[in-house]
Amino acid sequence: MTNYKPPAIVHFMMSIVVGFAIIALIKTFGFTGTRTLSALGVSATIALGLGAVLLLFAIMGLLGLAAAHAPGAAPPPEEMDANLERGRPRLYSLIVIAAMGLTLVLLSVVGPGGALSPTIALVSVLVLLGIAAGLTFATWPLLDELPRTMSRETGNAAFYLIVVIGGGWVILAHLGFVLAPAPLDWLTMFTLIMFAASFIVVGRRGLLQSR
Amino acid sequence: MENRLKIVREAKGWSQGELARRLGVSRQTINAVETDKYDPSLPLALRMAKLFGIAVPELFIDTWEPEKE
Repeated sequence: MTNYKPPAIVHFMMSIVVGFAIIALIKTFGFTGTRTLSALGVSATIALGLGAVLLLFAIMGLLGLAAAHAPGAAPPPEEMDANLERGRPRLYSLIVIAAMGLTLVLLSVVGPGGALSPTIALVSVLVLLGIAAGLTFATWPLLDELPRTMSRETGNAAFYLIVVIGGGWVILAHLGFVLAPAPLDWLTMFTLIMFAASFIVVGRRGLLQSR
Repeated sequence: MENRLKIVREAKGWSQGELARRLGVSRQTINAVETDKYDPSLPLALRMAKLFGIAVPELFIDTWEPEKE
């Protein structure tokens, strides 16, 4: 039996396909209890789609992590070491991803006629962002210099991507060529670009394949 | 940057996990250094050299030469 594990990018792509398929189904058929979803605007639909993708990605990752730590699991010794040393940072980062995904989902269904009132959404989002920030700080001391370096590189890459993509969009909007980004578009863009930057940084180092 | 980390580690009979434990870093970092995907920081390079009892330039190969005056 082979020990091949698909790279994280494969999980992410699968999450994208499944996430957007679910949203498309909901919007097309307007399942019971989700009628408000069919009335979502473009910004909210994209935010909801990305949020769903991140939630799915986090759930798949958490399931994989649980399987690796299950009592019956017997990975090779080297892999067991890796699971132990990276288990907690990975758990924290998956919870952060889930929190960010849920934040986008909640914010996408707020508004006139939406499923959530702005006050409830604000409190929920503050709690989620607090968890994400707390876990991010808690993860830092658990990392050694390689992931710390990659984290800094991700921050740098994300900054330049925001400048180019976000900046480019508002320049075009200011000149009247396109509509200006809505507040939710900015949040979706920040989230998407941060993940894109992290995949670029990890991929450039050839570290996308789990070892 | 090219390095001889894998050669000197194997000469000691250590696994990547064992070397990582002795250096206080993750096995992923050792693997990334050995496969030339990551150049370690100066403090880590010095610790590696000290652990193997060799000089840093014996562990990390730099082909750069200063310009002749």
